[in-house]
Amino acid sequence: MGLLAVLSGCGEKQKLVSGDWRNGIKEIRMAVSGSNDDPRLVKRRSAYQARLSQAIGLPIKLYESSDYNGVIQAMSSGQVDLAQMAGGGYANVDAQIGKLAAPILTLRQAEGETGYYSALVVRADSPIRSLADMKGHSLGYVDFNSTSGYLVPRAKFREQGIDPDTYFSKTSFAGGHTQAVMALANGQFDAAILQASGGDPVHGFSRGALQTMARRKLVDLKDFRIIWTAGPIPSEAFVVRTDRPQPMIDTVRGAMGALPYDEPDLWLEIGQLDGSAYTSVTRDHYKDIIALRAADIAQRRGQGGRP
Amino acid sequence: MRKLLLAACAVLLVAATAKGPSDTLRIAAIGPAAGPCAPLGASAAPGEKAYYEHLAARLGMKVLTCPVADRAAAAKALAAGELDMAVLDPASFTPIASVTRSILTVRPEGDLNRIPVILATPAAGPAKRLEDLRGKVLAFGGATPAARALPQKVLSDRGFGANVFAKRLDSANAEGALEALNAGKADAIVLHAAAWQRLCTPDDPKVKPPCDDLRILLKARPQAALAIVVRKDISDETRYRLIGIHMPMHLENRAAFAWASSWAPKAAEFEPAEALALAATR
Repeated sequence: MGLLAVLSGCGEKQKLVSGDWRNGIKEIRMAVSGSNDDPRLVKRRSAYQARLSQAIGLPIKLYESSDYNGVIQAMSSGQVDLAQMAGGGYANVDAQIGKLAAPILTLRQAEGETGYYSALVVRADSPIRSLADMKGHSLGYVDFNSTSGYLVPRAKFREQGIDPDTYFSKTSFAGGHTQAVMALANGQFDAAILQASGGDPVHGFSRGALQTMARRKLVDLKDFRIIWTAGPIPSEAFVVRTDRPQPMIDTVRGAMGALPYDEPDLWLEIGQLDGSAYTSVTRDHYKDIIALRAADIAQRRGQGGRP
Repeated sequence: MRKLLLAACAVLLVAATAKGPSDTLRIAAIGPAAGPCAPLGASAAPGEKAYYEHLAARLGMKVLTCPVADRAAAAKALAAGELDMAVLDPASFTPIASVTRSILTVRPEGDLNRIPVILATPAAGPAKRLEDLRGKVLAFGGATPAARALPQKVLSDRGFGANVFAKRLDSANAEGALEALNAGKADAIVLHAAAWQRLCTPDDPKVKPPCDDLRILLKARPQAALAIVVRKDISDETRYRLIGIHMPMHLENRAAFAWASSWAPKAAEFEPAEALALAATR
């Protein structure tokens, strides 16, 4: 690289690349899920596509799927090279192909967290102050398919020796985080399980259904109290096929990791939270979700009973 | 003249290709004896060997160590094209800021990323720049390190330590800080960027953004004390590869990471950095 300074004047930037790992590769295929109706999501896809294409020097082809399962199957079958997926989705891929897929990046939020929490919430005027006090009281879950509003808290209840099917007087599904807050406020449940993020149990939370509704003046935060939390539950990941060239994986990781620092305005335009950034992860970051998924699969096969 | 320049470039490119200038990465190594770049010696520390071998394997090229006397000498050699990568501090970076850029810093264990901080005042108020807030009251929003210690550091980096201001109000959250500002109890609010974004971007589009009447006087990340620096003429792909190799090093190769990050206390992981991470930008 000794002639770099001179060569740069000729308009040619110096590459530290030995050989060309691109030989025989015509394009990089990336799976994405979600609705085209969300303009921020569409913009995010386009931004990732353009950045990765520029960084890697190959076209990035998007494989769009209307549901999570489409992305999971595309990754598991090797139809795509990388994908962005939630922890539960990656756990499903892991169950199918193991080490052939690996998470490489997840978001680290401004306050430092790389996940979110399940929070057991009661009304502030409630005499219930702990999970022990909840025995014989009613509880509202979010949804049967909710990780933070059902899957994780039930698993954590069991870890603490509580059978979630018999411990509470009544349980039912609110249908969503917002509905769970309203049902709790209206006295429909003695407590509700909600997602909480933007902080931790020590410092408090700044995001989640309660905070969103409080900002919209629909509820007052002072009317509620968190009495128990479970988490953090790992956020979604960039997942790559490990049988692809290592230089490609390194370049993807670096290009995506540098994005919030290189282009802070674009980072906000595509709907990311200011102050957030990517951090490296491995399978280990998702081991709890993988274990929950395995337990779920076992239950579905009738080995552990239905929750 | 243009033809002459193109011809010269062509000659240089051919010469560069023949010499194979892209088959090595030269890293500054501060030590007592300066000297030419060379392969790592047999007496190198195990962690140093692990780092050089890790980079060589992942980049597919030779990695050389370039002994320099200090960070200033490393900066000079980097700018002159005599080496390719160096750990610099603000003092050594400043003279070569026009031709180099930061690419990585280290996040200490338990610390935040280098997240941006925003300082804002009423748009109709008298303060037009940070200096106008000397002797005034600042409202901070929240109890977390991101809400208190970090904004204080960002201001201190720019010469505005706590003693510059008359008083700081520690509100319970961003909303409380804004209330204090609107009530005239404070002259400015200081929030980390995520708190600002949440406060100023209402979920309900029918609600007027509460920060519409504010003027941002500062949005900046904390100044890095040290950073890995490369020349700006390095290609984006090379820069991304270097970042992409360093980011997971703490997970993939502990010995290499421990040595490579030994200049940073309590190192947890490499974190990408903006070009001017070593400058106290405004």
